[in-house]
This record gives sequence, C-alpha cells and structure tokens, in this order.
Amino acid sequence: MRSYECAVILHPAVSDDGLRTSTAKYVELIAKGGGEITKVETWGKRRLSYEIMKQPEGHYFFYRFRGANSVIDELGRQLRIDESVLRHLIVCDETAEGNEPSLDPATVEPTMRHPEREREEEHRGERY
Amino acid sequence: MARDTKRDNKRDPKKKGEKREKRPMRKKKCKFCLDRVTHIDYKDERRIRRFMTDRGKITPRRITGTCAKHQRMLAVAVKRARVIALVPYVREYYR
Repeated sequence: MRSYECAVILHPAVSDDGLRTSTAKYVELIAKGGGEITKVETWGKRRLSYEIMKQPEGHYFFYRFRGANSVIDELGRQLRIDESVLRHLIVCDETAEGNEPSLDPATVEPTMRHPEREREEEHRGERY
Repeated sequence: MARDTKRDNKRDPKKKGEKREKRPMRKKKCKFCLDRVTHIDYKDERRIRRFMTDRGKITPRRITGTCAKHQRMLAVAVKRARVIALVPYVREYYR
C-alpha cells in the first residue's frame, strides 16, 4: 500500500451540507476500497489563480490516505463524474512515513486550515 | 621583498579591473540546500511563488542559484500547484 494525497476543488455554489456529504462520499469510497484515511483537510473557499469552468473561486479539500491502486482508479473515476468537482489531483505522498494512524471513516471531520493566515507566522525569518 | 610586491598586486583593485571588465558574480547558494529541504510541497504556494516570475514562469537556475536536484523538485511542485490553481499557468497583462 502506498500513501497518496488527493486534492479536490469543489464548485463555489456547493452548500455547507453539500460539502459535508461530498467529504463523506469520498471518505467512504476510499474506505470501501480498503484504503485507510490518515487526514482530511480543507482550506475553505479560496480564490483560484485562474478561472475553472467560469468560476473564480472554489472549495479546497485534501485527502491523505493509504491504499491499493484500485482505490486510486475508482476515486479518480468518481471525481471525474462528479459535476461539483472543478478539478482534482491525486499524487503520491512522499512525505508520508506509512505509519500514520488511520481515522475512522464514519467520524472523519475535515480540519480547517488557512494557509494565508499561517504564512506570516510560519515564514517569519525564513529566506523565502 | 618579493613576497610583498606579490601581495600588493593581489590587493590592487585597479589592476584586477583592467584585466577583466566583468567581475564574476559571487556564486549564489541554493536556498533549499541551506534549509536542508528534502521535499518541496506543491501546496506551499508562497514558497513556490518565490521561484516564479510575475508572469507565472519558473525562474531559471542561473537566476535563483537553485541546485539541479532542488530545481527538479521545484519544477514538479510548480506544475502540480498549477493544476489545482494555486499558481497561474500564465498571467497576461496586455490583452
């Protein structure tokens, strides 16, 4: 089993309820295929660098999980079908050690992050 | 005495200037190496943007001083960040 990270951008018009069901749907999908979810993260509604399907904004979600490649195939297929998904990206998670504790798919809640707000603190004194 | 003149030659900035018009730039250090970075995250938009032009191109190594290894990792990170619209493919100013 490899570790993967899947980034999903959802349509800005999706309601809070819709976001919850969407997260639950993909979490369940991963779990059903024998995958183990290690983290679900959201950045909330964020401005896109360029318009996708005429939308200037989108809801960002990141799923980190371990699983066989059959999970990836099915997840990618579903993401392509889902009309509320503007864009998705599944990549191999090179930072994962492979021993992160897996979360219970029934109770997974996305953790909120605000990269913009964190930046000031995080990067102070850095060379970048 | 001979030793002294030798030293003087070395120190004289004018003489050096005559020989070579362009002085070689001090070699830049790879910023990722300085921070001992092993992996460049495509989600780290701010870090990535430092290595892009305002038009959205990846800045070449000769300008940023990034080492080959990190430039390769950077290029992958930039391309991934473009896919999920964290950074632009192109930014057009004049249309």
